[in-house]
Amino acid sequence: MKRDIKCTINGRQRTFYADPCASVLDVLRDVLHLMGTKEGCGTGDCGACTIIWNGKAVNSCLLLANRMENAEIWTIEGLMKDGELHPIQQAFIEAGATQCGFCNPGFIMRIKAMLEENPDPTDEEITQGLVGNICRCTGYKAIRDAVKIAVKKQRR
Amino acid sequence: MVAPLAKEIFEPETVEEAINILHRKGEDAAIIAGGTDLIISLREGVIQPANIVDIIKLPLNYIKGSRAKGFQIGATTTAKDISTSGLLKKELPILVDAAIHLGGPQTIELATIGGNICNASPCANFTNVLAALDTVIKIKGPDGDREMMLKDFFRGPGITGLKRAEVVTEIEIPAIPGAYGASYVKHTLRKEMDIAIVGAAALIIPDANKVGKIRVALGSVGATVLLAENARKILEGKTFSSRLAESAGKAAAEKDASYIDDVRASAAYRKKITRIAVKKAVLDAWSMAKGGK
Repeated sequence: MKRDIKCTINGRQRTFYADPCASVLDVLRDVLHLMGTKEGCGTGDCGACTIIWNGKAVNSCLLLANRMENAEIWTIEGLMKDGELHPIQQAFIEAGATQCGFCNPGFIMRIKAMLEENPDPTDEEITQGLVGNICRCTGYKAIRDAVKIAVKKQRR
Repeated sequence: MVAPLAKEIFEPETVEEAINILHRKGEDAAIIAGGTDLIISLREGVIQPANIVDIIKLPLNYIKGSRAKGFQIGATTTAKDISTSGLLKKELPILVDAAIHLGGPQTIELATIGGNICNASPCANFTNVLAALDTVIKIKGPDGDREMMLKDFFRGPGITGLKRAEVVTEIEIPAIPGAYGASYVKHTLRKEMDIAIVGAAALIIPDANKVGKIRVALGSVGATVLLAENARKILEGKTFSSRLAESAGKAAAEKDASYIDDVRASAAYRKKITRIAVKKAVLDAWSMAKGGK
């Protein structure tokens, strides 16, 4: 049954009327019209729907909307600041880590959470940190390179 | 399109309240904790309950105790909390290992130890490891509190010994005093992201050069996680050697496990891997018990 849900999305307080038994992914896309978050597999295997929920990178397809109540949520739409791309987004461009682009929002949100936990990951930690995301275009090397570029940018 | 996965969701804040709701709603309710298994079942229509009882607000997120006295872990403790616990890293690293390899980083943030057990998958990481540790499941329900040994908790794939309106609240791992070794070998193709093709967990408490206490638990090679009793009999009380570990692997593969062909592997492949996985788990556990890694 639908109800009012209150939370912070991308730094902004929002109240919206939605079904708490729907997935967060569905609510983001179809109620809040935040289409940046993608649905890939819908079963938690591909990571395309990754968002940051209370500081944790999670698959929004495997989270019910009742858990949005009073939560702090970040999606890809919240990363740009004052017309500037986020350093991770900029790093994706510089490394050529994007082809079709479908997996990018999920990767970028996962990388954001990963670098908040561990600002200077080793190569192995980068690889391990991204095992929950699938890219069918790039072969991952460019994405790993993007993480390294983002680490340097964020250190500045 | 927004497709709600149930009609109503309840968010009890006490175990008693959760039991009352479950009692009232009967068969038409499902418990959600981490949700990483349940939501997939809801989406695929495997289960279609009208009501969901979200137990995340229950005060069941804790890791207490020590190896000398035993550990108590709350049912809604996440794999992330377990994988980052300083206490467990120092005193029970096998459980940290099970948590790290449970799934990708996004899954680990949400998945709970209680959910991993109650989902009753014969492949579940925590269940596989906990079975080797003689774990006890603490249950609360309308008729009061009770306990079950984890090894007796499962009736088949997806089926537990829980009665109507009962909730698993705590996982208790008995004390492991003195020197011990424990190892978990999970064979998969896509590392963390895959469900185990074969899982083998071993616990050894040595008695000088002999194997004192030994438990070998197997995952993905039976209808439930199971204890490999034939492997135990071969090892228990014997002077340890790698040949003995080899024999234990052979006994587990030939007598304890049962195999099916499925999408992840053939029965014949699973049998070969079981033999190797058990041998490796036993060798690693012995090496740890004797002061190795």
